[in-house]
Amino acid sequence: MSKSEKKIVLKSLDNEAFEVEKAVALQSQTIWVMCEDKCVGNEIPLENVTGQILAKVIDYCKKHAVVDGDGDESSEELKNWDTEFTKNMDQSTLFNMILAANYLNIKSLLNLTCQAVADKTKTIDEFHTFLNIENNFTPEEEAQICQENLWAFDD
Amino acid sequence: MDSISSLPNEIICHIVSSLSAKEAAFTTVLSKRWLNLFTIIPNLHFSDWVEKPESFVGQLVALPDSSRVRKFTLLKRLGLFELADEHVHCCLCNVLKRGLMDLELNIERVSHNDIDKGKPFSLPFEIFTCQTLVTLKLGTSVVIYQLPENALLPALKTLILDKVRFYGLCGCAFQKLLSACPVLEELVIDSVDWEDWKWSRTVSSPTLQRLNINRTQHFYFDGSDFGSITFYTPKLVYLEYADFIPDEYPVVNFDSLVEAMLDLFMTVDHTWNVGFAGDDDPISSNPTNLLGLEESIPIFENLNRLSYTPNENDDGYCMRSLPFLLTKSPNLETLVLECSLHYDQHKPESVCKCMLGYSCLLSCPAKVLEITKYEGTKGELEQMKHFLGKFLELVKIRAGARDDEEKLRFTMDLLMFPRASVNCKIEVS
Repeated sequence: MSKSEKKIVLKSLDNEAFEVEKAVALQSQTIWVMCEDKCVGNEIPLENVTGQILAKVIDYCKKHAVVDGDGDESSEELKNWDTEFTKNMDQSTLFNMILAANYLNIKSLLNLTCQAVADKTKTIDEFHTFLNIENNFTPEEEAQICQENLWAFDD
Repeated sequence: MDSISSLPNEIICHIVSSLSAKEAAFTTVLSKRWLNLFTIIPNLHFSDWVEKPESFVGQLVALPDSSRVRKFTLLKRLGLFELADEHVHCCLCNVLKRGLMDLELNIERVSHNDIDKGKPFSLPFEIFTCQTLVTLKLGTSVVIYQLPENALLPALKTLILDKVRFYGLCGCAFQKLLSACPVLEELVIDSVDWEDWKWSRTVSSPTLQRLNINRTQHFYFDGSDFGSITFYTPKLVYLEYADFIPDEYPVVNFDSLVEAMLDLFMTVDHTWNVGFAGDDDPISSNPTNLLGLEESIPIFENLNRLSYTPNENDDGYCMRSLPFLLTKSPNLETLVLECSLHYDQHKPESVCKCMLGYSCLLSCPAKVLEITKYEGTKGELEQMKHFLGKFLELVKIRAGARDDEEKLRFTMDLLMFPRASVNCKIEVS
């Protein structure tokens, strides 16, 4: 394999280009399939991901890539890195990361970001503020559901 | 548009599959869409009357990952139905991934095959790393050999061990389990057998608030190797404890203890001597025995409510440890006798030697006495005379009175006695 074939260019929704090692990009099942099918050249347009999010996804993939002489990171270290990675992400970044991980089909990143959302939502208030979901229940319906799950709401 | 609504359903289910059952229940009130996305199973019960165990396991495994289980109960007599240990392990590992909060596991080996009969049931390691478990109850044939290196139960508040045994090959698995529970509040060790189960002789937890220890049948007591028991429980508020008094309690931290329910049996030269104390009783007749006992019982510095619950049997009982417990409780406010008053039916006026002539009452600061069994017999009245003559402000008696008339008679009988305090109230119910 020549040097140029080991590199690949990812282009974001807002036309930002990222040149990365093929081994890094191929962690995305979506990109892997595109390359297998040879339906794209050396430049892959990713129409659902902004440059800001794509940069973070690439950071993650670089860390988790098993490249020659670079795959000896201990699992403990990697876990700590993952924790730090999602720790200070705001709500909107985290949701865009989830969407990107889903679109690019990177299972471990999807697990990590979904877990991060779950970790940030432990009380009802946190669910309302962090997830920012519009409540479309009538007060009566809400009371009814609380009544059915009384064990969860009683303290 | 809120950002979570832009996520497809399968991703919402993915997020939910990292939540505990309780957190998942919170999401059901968020919006109508969330309510119908996944199920929360409040109580999954698996026991002998489940007819087709394989289909139970199959259905459980087939549930989508986002289904949450709040409580799982497995009561099983292995061997009755063909359910292999692997199936039980498979069930456990599956529910532990479903936000499980409450796990009850009681496995008893019933087998015609002698090899299987005594075979212990060991737990999958996943139990000891579950993030969501709040209550864990383990019983009967369960044996814990080893804990994983990363054992941690960060949410566990209640741990109930009923005839569970620990065999530590590298260090003690019991101590390791306690130290893997950073927020443990309640611990129950039922049917403990200190002599054979040396692991259980040290109970150490900086967060524990309630502790209940019950010794196994004491009629087969073998006290030959029964040296010491350690309690390091500085936050303990409530203690329920039925046991023989060992030679010593070398480390005891009961600084926060305010309420105790105690049933401590005394041994004479490490043998259990049941029944009344007679003139020839080695404890009563040999003062050195008593001296040793007084030293071994720890001081209950802040205890204000003591319930004394002697184990009664056909031969009657003695309150041998009561005088010592009273001297060791310098701030006692309420004494509850969960028994009938102790006397010899043939000599109702005499006082049993076990009470040391009621001398311990003189220094006891308790102002309230509660008696839970009272028949109003002559012997009981004679004993009551001693209590009323000493200390109290309030005497509460739960009497087996047939009608109001008899209740009144009980009260009048008691009011006839001279009371040390004129303000002492007597309530008979």
